[in-house]
Amino acid sequence: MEKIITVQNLRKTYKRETAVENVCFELLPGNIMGLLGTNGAGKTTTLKMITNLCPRDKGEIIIDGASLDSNPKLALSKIGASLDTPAFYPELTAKENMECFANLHQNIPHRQVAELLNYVGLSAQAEKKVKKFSLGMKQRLALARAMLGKPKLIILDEPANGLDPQGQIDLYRLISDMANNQNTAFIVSSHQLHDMEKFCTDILILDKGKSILQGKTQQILSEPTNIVDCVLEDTEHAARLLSRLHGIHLTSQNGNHFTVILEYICLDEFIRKLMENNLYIGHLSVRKHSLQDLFLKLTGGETSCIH
Amino acid sequence: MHPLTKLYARKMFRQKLIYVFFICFFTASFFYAFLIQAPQIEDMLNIDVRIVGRKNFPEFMMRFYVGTVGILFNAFLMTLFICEEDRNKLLYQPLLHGESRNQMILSKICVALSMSMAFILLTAFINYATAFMRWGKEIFDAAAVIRILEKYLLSGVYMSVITLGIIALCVCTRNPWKTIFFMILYILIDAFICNSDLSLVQKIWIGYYPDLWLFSYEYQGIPLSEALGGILVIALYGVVFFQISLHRIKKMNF
Repeated sequence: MEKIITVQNLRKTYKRETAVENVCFELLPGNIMGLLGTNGAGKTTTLKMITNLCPRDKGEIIIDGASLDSNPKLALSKIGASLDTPAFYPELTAKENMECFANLHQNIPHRQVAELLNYVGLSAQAEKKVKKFSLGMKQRLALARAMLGKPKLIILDEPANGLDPQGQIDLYRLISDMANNQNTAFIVSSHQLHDMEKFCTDILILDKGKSILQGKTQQILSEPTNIVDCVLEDTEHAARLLSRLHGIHLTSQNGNHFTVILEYICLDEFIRKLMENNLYIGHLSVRKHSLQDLFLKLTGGETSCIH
Repeated sequence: MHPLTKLYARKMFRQKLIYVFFICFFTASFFYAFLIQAPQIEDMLNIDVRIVGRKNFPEFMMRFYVGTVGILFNAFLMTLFICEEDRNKLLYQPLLHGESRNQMILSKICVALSMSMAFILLTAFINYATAFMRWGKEIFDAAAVIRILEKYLLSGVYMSVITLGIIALCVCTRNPWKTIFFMILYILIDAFICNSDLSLVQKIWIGYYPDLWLFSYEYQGIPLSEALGGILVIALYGVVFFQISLHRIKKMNF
């Protein structure tokens, strides 16, 4: 399948500070890429380079076959974006704001503004001035504006900022629907790791401007960890054994539910040792990575269960 | 007209500052027209009411716009038009909808220059209107009207180029207070140069020519050579300010 965006060796420095270094990624139509990183990791700078808001020092960006260097107008016509906090003309209504920007596109049918406002659930507020909008409503309006002209790639910078939990769920559902039904690709930067894990098909984690993890979300998260949850009978005996067994670290116990980290031994050896000590294993499972665990591990944040 | 220019023009017309300013200007012009022949005013302003009143009143009132007041008004307006939009993350929005940086700044410049010229003509209209209210038809002396309108148009050219300079400053500093600070600095330097004996510096100084037109040739026609020389110098400044704006906007990190 034709890639919707190819980014190669992206680099940006501000004076002597490197903001983004050697970032590369690709995205297919209908896929949603989560761009993660701590504050100042280079997420917004990367997005601004893709949208040409920030001249880059090095690197190549090709959007739906059009190079951002040689054919910026064509390349940018394939993108819709909402960066930073959503900005609108506060004195104008939602509809007027949409129409202002719709006029900048060529060949947008007049009805598209109404359709998009309806799509993001703002048709009832179309005639309301934007200065009276809540942040959540502005976020939805920003999404509608980014969708003007039906771009093949939509870039959203922390779209869930300021939204209540229900608003976040609605927004992510909207994005997933668009990706699935209209084959639109998304690049979404966010700090909502739990939500990103659920709805992103691809993940790119940046740290200090460098890509430290990227790939398909399922693939990344399916790799087993060294954390084992088990249910063992004879609780007292099990607790004694697990606390003195070499090569493992007992992290928690809740009744006969134990969580251990396999530090120096493999899973087979752990099971053999349990059996050798006549412990009956009621249940045993190896935990999978959560995006949050991975993120904290890779960015050097605190974590209690990944080693 | 380009849709972006239309959008910016619409945005500009919504600036309340413009309406407040011109209501104040009308009020000032109105009171000047009616009070100018009071003896106290004559002494206070050190003017000869036989000259500044009637047909010369619109020319006399021009000095209250072309200069410090007009420059600061334009500076405030441009900072709202560019720096505040930049701060509110609105300046780059058209770029996310397929517009180029060049088109964006050209549209801004186009609206700002049109407004600059329109403001000068509006000032002329206000001054003629208040003069008409005070003195009636006797203000319409054909030779004086032509001479005064010429001066308004020349001042319009100067104010447009000053506006271009303010735009260049806005694009370079991206900060409203820095822009206003530099414009105050310009006004001070302008006053120094115009009142000095540095004739060579005066010849290449943009602010010298409006001073020459408004004060040295007060209530007189401007010789063509003086007008053309001034326009040429002012236009050169305009080209430099325009190029600076274009150059800076290309390198701007939003």
